[in-house]
Amino acid sequence: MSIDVMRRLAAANPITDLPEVAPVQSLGALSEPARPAHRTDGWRWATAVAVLLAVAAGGLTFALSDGGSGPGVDVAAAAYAATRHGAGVVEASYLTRLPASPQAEPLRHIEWLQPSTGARRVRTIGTHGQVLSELQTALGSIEAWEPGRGSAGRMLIVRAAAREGEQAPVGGLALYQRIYRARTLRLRGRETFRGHAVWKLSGISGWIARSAHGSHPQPAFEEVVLVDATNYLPLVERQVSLQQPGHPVLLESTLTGYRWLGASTSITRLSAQHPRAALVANGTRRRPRTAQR
Amino acid sequence: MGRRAIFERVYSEHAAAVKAYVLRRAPASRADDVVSEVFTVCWRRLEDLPEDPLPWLLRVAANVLHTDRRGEARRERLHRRAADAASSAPDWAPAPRDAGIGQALARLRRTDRELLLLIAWEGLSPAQAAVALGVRAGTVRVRLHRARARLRLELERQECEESPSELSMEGST
Repeated sequence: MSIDVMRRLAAANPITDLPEVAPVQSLGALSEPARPAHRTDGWRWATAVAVLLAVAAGGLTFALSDGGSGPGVDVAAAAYAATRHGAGVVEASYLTRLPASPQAEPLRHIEWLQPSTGARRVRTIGTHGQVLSELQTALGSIEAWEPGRGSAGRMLIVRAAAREGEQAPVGGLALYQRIYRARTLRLRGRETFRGHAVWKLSGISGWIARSAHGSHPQPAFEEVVLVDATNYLPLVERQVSLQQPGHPVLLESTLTGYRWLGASTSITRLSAQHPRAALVANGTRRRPRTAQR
Repeated sequence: MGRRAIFERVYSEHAAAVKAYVLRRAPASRADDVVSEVFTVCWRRLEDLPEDPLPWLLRVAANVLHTDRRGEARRERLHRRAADAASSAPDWAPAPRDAGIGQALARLRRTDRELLLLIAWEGLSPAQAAVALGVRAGTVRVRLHRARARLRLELERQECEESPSELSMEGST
């Protein structure tokens, strides 16, 4: 078999047109070699903002360092600040696994958060890269969409039923924010995760109203969070069952990507994005609508 | 021609090509930073600039990207490893337009892949690629021959895997 591999390789070039570049005048600082080059590194910027916000928000964010091994900052607050931007949309990608069910394939999720509106969208992606579903929550509405065979998919809309927090996220930044706001997180120490230094936090995330032998609420679930010691992003979130023997990890999500999409971005409503999707509400199938208001 | 004028000519002629090179290998959000750093080096070492500056600039870009990844993006590497556990994600930012090519490239050694991409995507000649990689032209010719053969082998292997022989259904009703 003869394949012109170089021709096929050239045709696969993802960037065929030359991109626009900043005018050379914008590089005026180059005429002063001693001056450090201007950088707009997103990670550094986000980390600096995160720490500053943590300082401003917590009031008690700077804690006394307990010798040389303490974090010097309130890790939980810094991680909370690192997951939030005042304007625009934050995008996070993460993998979710069910350690108790090793046969279950991990799912990929992309999460978008818009703090100014409280909107959150999560896309669930299967092992072969196919979109399995999308869920969007905002104040006053929940919208869920799943693709259909050769069609525009199906849409479920619930209105005036969702307040912030009613839809419990299963992982990602929103889950961390929810746990942080519950004010149960405590710093448990410093660990190494895949060769990198992380801070370990944990807190009770679920309760059983009554125990079998008394009336006091019993903790049912604990969230263990590993926070990157460099940029304070929550890398790993583990949901531990406190009611089962051995306290197994039921669910683990690992952050694989994070970026801020800019102040001018916003999350589009799912119903506006898929206007031709068949509307399903309360199990009743209705005619497709072109717009949901 | 003054120093400034030389620099501006180099920038106007090659900045877009350098940015395209970066965009093929790094997230778009980092491209402007990397290009800025490449031309900062270019400004400082203007006297060392060869007559054909593009391969030299791409070599600087490769070094900047390498340093960038090693020194500043520890967390990204960590995440990439986590993602790699579930999928064999390639180490360049946008996926190639041909998924088969993407898979085949991912199976090649990094040095082979970089050489092929310099020629097929950046449009360099083997001699220019040698400058970009910092090796001799003769070495590039040998490596290129070998890399082409490996890529062809990977593509042929894919075709074999995509058209498996019919499965025997004996015993089924």
